[in-house]
Amino acid sequence: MRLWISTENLRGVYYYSVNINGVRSLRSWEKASHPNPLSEGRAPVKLGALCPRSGRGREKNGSIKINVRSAVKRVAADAPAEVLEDAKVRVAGVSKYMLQHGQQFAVLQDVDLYANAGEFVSLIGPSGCGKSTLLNIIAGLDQPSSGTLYLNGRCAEQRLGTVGYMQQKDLLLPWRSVLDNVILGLELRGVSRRFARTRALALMEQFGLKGFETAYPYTLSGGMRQRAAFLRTILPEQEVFLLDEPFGALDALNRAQIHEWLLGLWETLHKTIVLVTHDVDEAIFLSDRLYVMTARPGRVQLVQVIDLPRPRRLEMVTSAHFVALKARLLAALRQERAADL
Amino acid sequence: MRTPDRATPVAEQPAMAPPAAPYTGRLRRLTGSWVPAALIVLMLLGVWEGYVRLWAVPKWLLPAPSLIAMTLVVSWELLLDHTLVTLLEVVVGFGLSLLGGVALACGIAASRTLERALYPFVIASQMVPIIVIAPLLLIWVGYGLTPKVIVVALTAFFPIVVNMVDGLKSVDPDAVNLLRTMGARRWQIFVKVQVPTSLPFLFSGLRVAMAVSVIGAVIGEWMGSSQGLGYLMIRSKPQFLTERVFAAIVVLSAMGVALFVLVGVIEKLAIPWWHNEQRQRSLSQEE
Amino acid sequence: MSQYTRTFTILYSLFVLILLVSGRHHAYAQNAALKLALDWYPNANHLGLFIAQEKGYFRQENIEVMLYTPVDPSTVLQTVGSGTDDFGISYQPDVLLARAQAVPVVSVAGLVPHPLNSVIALKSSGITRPRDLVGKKVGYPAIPTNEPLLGTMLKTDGARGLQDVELVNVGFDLVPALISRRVDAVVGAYWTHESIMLENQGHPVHIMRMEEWGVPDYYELVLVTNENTIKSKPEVITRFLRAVRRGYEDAAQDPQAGVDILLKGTKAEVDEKIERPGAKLLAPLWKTDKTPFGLQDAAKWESFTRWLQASGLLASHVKAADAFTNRFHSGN
Repeated sequence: MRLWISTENLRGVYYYSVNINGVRSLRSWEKASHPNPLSEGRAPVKLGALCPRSGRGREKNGSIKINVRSAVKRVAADAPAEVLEDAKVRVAGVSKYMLQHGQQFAVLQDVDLYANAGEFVSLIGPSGCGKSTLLNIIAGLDQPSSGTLYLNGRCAEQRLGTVGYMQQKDLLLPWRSVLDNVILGLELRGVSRRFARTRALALMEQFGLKGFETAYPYTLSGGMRQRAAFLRTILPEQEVFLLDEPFGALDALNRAQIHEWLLGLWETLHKTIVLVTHDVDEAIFLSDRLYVMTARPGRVQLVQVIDLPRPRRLEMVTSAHFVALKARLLAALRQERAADL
Repeated sequence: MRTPDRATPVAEQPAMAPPAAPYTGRLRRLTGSWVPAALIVLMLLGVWEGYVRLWAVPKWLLPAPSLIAMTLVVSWELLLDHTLVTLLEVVVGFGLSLLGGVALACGIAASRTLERALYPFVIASQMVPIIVIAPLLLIWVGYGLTPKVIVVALTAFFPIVVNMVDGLKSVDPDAVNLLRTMGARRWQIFVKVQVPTSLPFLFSGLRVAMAVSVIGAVIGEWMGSSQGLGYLMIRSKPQFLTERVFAAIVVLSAMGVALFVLVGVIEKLAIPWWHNEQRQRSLSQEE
Repeated sequence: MSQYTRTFTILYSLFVLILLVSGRHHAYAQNAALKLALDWYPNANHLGLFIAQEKGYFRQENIEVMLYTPVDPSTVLQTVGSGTDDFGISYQPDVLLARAQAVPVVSVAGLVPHPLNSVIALKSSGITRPRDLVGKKVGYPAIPTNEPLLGTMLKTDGARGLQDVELVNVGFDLVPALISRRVDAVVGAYWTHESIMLENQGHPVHIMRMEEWGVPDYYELVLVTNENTIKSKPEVITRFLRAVRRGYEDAAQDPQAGVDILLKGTKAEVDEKIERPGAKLLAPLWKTDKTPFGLQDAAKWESFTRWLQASGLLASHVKAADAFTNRFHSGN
């Protein structure tokens, strides 16, 4: 979450963007690098008489000391609901640079993203825009080159194992039976196999895997493999789940079925889900909010709130509202692609 | 004999001519797939026998298959005694090599430093000619079973280590990442993913190692043994009992083949998923 | 005909064709060099041959001889028997064993009239006679004839026989085995070669000679050829043996000059420090004052054959008279 704050001093009006850790003190604040913060659709909050003179924040070159923290807290109380401090996942100004052929290039640039508890957030964008890299960073496989990541409000350097991550490939281990594959997450946490198996067995039917407990992965169809991978992801009962194009391999019919099933499951689990996909329909159908990313270097181009009613029904796909949302998003994507070309 | 039992509609395979499949269908099912090999072997034996008889080749130069077969039957007790000794050498040496080789491979795969330090030695162990080492072993270690076991272990070592290291390194990095996202520690990844991935490679190496182990045992016996099939061979040669030499060779080959097949059987029991996958893949290719 | 059957038939016809075409493959031209397979790497035992080569005795007899050491010296009788080699140097017991298996080899000259094979022990072990070997380890090179030789020596000295000692197969590296004390004594070692090797390395030894301990005197090395050559080229054999005899007579006169020739002809295989003392020891054996060099004593052949048959190693149908001939000896 980023707040824009404007202050006025003898030198003029300064705009500051501030990253906030809800619990600790301010991490950083910097002069606004964006040419015009107003263009983001949010007016900066004016700090004026609200701020006492002393405090932690310090303007770089000037003499004004601002306790931006308490100021921001007060501001946040009035701020729109979208600015919550206890978002489950918060990506703040994350950039990622990679080296290729001796040249450094940006995969992600200043990405801001958040997902509140129990929210279903989607991320769509053209291929190569760094969506998977972003998920890798959130999961802890990678570290951002700059910016910070907050999970459960905490800045977490060692994130591995804290979020569930379902990748594009189902990656079911061929030497384990389906049941043993599914309990892998629990097993790695030290849960006894027997206990984990009982837990998993209880859910097998719901995931459409009944009867295949002792079978080996190669006997499963594509859809079943994805469901098994999904069960493996959610079994350790983490708070956040990242899904990286999990249904890409399925055909349209299967996908529609799995969407409904997934939503049904999500409604019972109340978990936070971040879904990456390049299927606009899927993104709109499943999520509460949607981020559109630009092509490389990936930036958040558009944040769209999906205000379709819950629980979602397949018939909504052809509703006018759905189509309008889809049109808007496709336009944004097309614009990106045109810019790319 | 040639008509395949499934009719392949021409529409499905327009450009591809059906592959020449002369030995399919009912005849194959009836006779099993080993018949062509057996026929070829019989044919070769027939030629051999004919050559020996036609040109009156003396038996000390090239014994006829019939004479070798007779020797096998007549001297079976002698052959059995020596076979058991060689078998013991092979099994013990192979077992040692397996334990040591697997341990070393795990070390090499786990640590870059170890790899750089030890891998050259592994390669060198294969380059050392056994014929030269065996007499030296006799002096260092003494006579008896130990030097032969060491020779066998040396010959089997290289294929086991190399294949196992390749297997451990061939792990799917995505699977490793998956486990990392689940919070797995390094040893957990090693045990749960790397080791199972390496098993097919290991068994491939074991099959090669088993074959060379048998040869290694025989070579080890040529220098300084008083028992074993290799010893029997070098004792029969100065007595011009060439048929016994050949009989020993036949027994040795049979033993080698049996052990080779045994490794394959153990492989099928240990990693059934691998074979099922392979079979699945080949079936889908055939279609 | 199906493709499979066709392939089969073609392969089979090919095999039969090869069969018919091959036939006897060991015919060679008359004027090609005569091949002589040595029993081991060139050493003092071969002095006469190298002298004959170097001084032109073979050339004077209008023959060309190629001396070489086969890769596997234990196959000499087989190559000579099959005709691949014209002549070979082998051992008397081996010739008899070969003839028992119908290998058509015949000894035409005796190169060394007494056994060189002996039992050697380090002086420090205190073993001076076969009886001292009881309960000890004796190394041997897995050649079967060593067993009855040792057995007879033991029995002559009052022991029970082979069961009193532990025979250990040490391959052909007899010297390292003895030095490393893995065995207490070795049999199958030459008292003109291994003994010198041991003394050179600073290990004085005690030698027990075969013929002193009950073994009938026999020829250590003989020159063999096959029956086919005897039938087809008897005069070649006579000329060959004449040249060989002259060579060995020269060697007996001046063994060290012979060693010089040996060193010139061969390169790294010959160890001068062994061959010079060895030649000195061998020279008296070649001396021809009593019998001409190479002439074989029938009694020696008979007694040794009988002894070998009694030991059980040789089949009883072998006749000593068939195994050797003096027909080509020009001293006759």
